[in-house]
Amino acid sequence: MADRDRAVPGDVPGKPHSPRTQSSTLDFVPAGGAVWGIARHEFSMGSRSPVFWAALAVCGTLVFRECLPDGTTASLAAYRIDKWSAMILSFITLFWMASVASRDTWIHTEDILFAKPQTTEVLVLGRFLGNLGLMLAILVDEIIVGAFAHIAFAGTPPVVLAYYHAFWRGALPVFVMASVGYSFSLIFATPVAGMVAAVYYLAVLGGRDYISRIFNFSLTQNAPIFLPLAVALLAVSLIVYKRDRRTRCAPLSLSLVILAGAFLSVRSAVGIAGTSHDEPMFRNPMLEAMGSQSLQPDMRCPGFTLPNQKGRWTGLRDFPGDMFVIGLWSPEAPVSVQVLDTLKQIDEMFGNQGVRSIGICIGEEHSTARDFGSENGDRFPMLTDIGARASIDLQQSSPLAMAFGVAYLPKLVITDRQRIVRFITNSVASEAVIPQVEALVKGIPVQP
Amino acid sequence: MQIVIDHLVKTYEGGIRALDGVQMQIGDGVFGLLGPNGSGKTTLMRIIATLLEPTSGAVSIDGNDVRRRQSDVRKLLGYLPQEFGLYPSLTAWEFLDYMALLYNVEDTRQRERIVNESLERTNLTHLRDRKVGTFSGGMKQRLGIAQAILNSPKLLIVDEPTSGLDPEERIRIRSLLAELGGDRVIILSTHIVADIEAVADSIGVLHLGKVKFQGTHEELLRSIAGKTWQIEVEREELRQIKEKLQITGVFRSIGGVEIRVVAASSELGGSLPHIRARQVEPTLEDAYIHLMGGSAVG
Repeated sequence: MADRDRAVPGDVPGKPHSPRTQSSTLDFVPAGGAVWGIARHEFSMGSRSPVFWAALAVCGTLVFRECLPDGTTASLAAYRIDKWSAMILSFITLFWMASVASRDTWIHTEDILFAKPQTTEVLVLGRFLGNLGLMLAILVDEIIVGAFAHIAFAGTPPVVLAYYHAFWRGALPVFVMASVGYSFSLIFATPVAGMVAAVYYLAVLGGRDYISRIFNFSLTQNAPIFLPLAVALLAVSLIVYKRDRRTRCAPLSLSLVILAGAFLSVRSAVGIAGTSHDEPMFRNPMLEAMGSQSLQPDMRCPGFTLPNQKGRWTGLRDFPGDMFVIGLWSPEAPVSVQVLDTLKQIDEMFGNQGVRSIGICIGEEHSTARDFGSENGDRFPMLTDIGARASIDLQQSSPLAMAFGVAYLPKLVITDRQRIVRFITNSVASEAVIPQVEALVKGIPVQP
Repeated sequence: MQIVIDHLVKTYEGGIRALDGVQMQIGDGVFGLLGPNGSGKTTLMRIIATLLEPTSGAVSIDGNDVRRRQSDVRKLLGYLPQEFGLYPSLTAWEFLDYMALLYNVEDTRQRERIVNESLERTNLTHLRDRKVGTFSGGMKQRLGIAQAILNSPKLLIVDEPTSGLDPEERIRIRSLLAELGGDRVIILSTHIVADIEAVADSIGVLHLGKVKFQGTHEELLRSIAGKTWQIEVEREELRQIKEKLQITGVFRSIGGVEIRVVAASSELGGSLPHIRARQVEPTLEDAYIHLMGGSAVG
């Protein structure tokens, strides 16, 4: 690939047609040092902006308020940070990156920059990284503030892993929004183009009951789709930007780019719909079958097969002859998270007596069960209800919720060793549940 | 270094022809590109700086075609556009460091050295830690030059560098350009004749996208040798004279107004037989206005 020449005082290349100075219209050899140097300057420049400090203050304040305790655990506090990050920081990122991409047009620096020999790739990438770094700094600020609020007011110890998970979950929508805002503004030379993504995201957030989850890029299960798309978008915008503004090539037809983008989106949609239950897009026969069951006292417990925290598909049939304590919960119902403590306690007390605790998270975000489980050191299976989607009516939120008749969360179900439902409760208090388990272990009947 | 401009044409969308078959050869030293606003100077500068595609024709810099070897050309040149912005929140030093990265200078110490050199040459060392947003017009212009000379360019293009500056800053910029002009080509585009007079070794005059003159000061002055006059007139006579002769300057005098005109003595005698005219040494401004047929003075 092409070498990069250095132009310094006394060392200006003056030999034409030297192989060392061959140039190409698309030279994808980024210069590491220059990329980081530009990123550093961009970071420094942005960090002096009052807009940045205002965003930092607004995000910090909102998260502080959100993380004040009302029975909040560290995991829940971290989850709420992400929620705010996806809601607020994503939009801030979009506006910020869209402005950065059009900044040179506004302040007339394009001619100065483009007359320089540095490749456009390095310039674009350095700027993107520097400003993405600023937005991630706001995310870190949110996490620190959230952690502080939790530690100071809840009085429970911090769980570093929870904040680590919060960072990566929060970084996903920030990265996607950064890429979209930056790319669209580069391509169309106006920050307004970047704002199109804001309309899209508002529609996704506002219409979650009706729009397929696949379109929500802030959900980590959609990361395999949206991360490559975001990177691809950056690459496409770079090519278009470079060809339009800096080389002798004719402007690349934007319709080609739009076609490519549409193709990738459809392909992504089909891909994810094939691996999950996403009603507007796809119906999963297995989940349909789950939904057709019904939870009844003294009847056989509805069966299910769902991925556990390690991604392994797990169901009741994997534990023949065990008693089950099944706790359904969701981070959207903060009180329900306390059921995890009860499940943990039962697992520790009765795990060696053939009692199996199973947690099932009913929520749009598929990483929640895994993250909460690892953050709390839970050893029992923590399953993700992959059929769950946002719905005001909990029973409609997933086939499993329908089968278990979930009107409130948490819902705790105890079966005997024949999987017959013996006890159902919405209580999170371990003292209300443990005596029932103890009785069933001893073979004493309990009132359902 | 040799810059060859060959039958250069640039037609913008809407059919506006900014350059119409421009041919020029520019060698070492300061080359002054003169012309009224809208004559095509900036278009020509931007084509040479690889920022604009010509419609037809070619420009080569030391054998490098600006269309085909953009990257090589950019390594040779420093460019100060007519209108430019700077990142207001960066200090002068940071801004130049950023620009040095765009010249592919990745080594930190090397970058530090060339940035310091540029600051020193443009007399900005004492302002290195000051934010660019607080700079005056003249300081900004000097910083613009500083970024353009970071790579010790063999070709420095400066487009209207003194426009809008106060007289003191204008002189400072001129002397800076004169200093820099030693061993490189500087193309100084301006509509201010005094800038050219002060620093340019050779001149090109553009008008409506065409080259009206290319040569030295002396050659341009020679075109009006013995034809420049200074005349004291009454204010009331000014309109009448303007219709008959080409006025290149008007000055206030005790009795009324003194004007400079370019005309052959026979022409002068025929037009204003009763007026006493004093022959004076021609200036570049006289020659320029004469060349432009009065259009340069509107």
